[in-house]
Amino acid sequence: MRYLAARTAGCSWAIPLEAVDSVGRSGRDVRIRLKEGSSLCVDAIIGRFEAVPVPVGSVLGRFLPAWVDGLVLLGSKPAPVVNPGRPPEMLRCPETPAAEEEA
Amino acid sequence: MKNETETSRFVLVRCGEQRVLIPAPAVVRVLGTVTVTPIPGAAPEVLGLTEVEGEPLAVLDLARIVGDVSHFGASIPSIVEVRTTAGEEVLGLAVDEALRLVDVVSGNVSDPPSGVPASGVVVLEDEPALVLDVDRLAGEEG
Repeated sequence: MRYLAARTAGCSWAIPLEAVDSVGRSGRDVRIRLKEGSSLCVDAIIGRFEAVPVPVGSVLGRFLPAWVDGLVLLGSKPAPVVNPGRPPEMLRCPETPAAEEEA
Repeated sequence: MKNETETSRFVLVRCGEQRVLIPAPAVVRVLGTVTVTPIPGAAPEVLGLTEVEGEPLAVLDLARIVGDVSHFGASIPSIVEVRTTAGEEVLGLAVDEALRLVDVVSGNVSDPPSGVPASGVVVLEDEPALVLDVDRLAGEEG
């Protein structure tokens, strides 16, 4: 699968590229608009990666938040996969429209 | 029920003040110092993620899991990579030190304390060691 790798709060995040509608800027943040309608605000985009996700099983799943939809390596850096249907609260953009958008 | 003379092999580890026996068949490998990156919003038992031989690995704090005080930072002295038998999951357990292999006769295993994912307690050289139940790391339903 292909992922958009983002960084915010010192952590890496993998967002399934197939769920991304567009990427643009919103002030100092990068705003990732998802096809499902919500938007994520991150500090920076690291790049796009092809990676095979490792699913979260029943043991690890009980320790992880619901937004974690697997684990991947982005290059050599491990990152949680964001479930686009229920993204983490800390990535959700404040309710202001994007100032400008790029394709 | 197990035969009282049946012998099982374990990896003995030290985690803070605790000594823990991890069933050898569940151990994939023992790793040296690794650095982890945290997962925001994860339970305190999750120290973070690391990379091992081209795969992401979630690392759990064995000290917290066995009811001890957490003392690990971003750099962990040693990780025991284990595979659960129930869910076919691979997880990393942060420990201070992997000590040695130990063979334990099942008749020497006494009942575990409640509230920890252990299948028993063994006295080794006059000190107790918890026998970890890898499939119950997340509690009774895990």
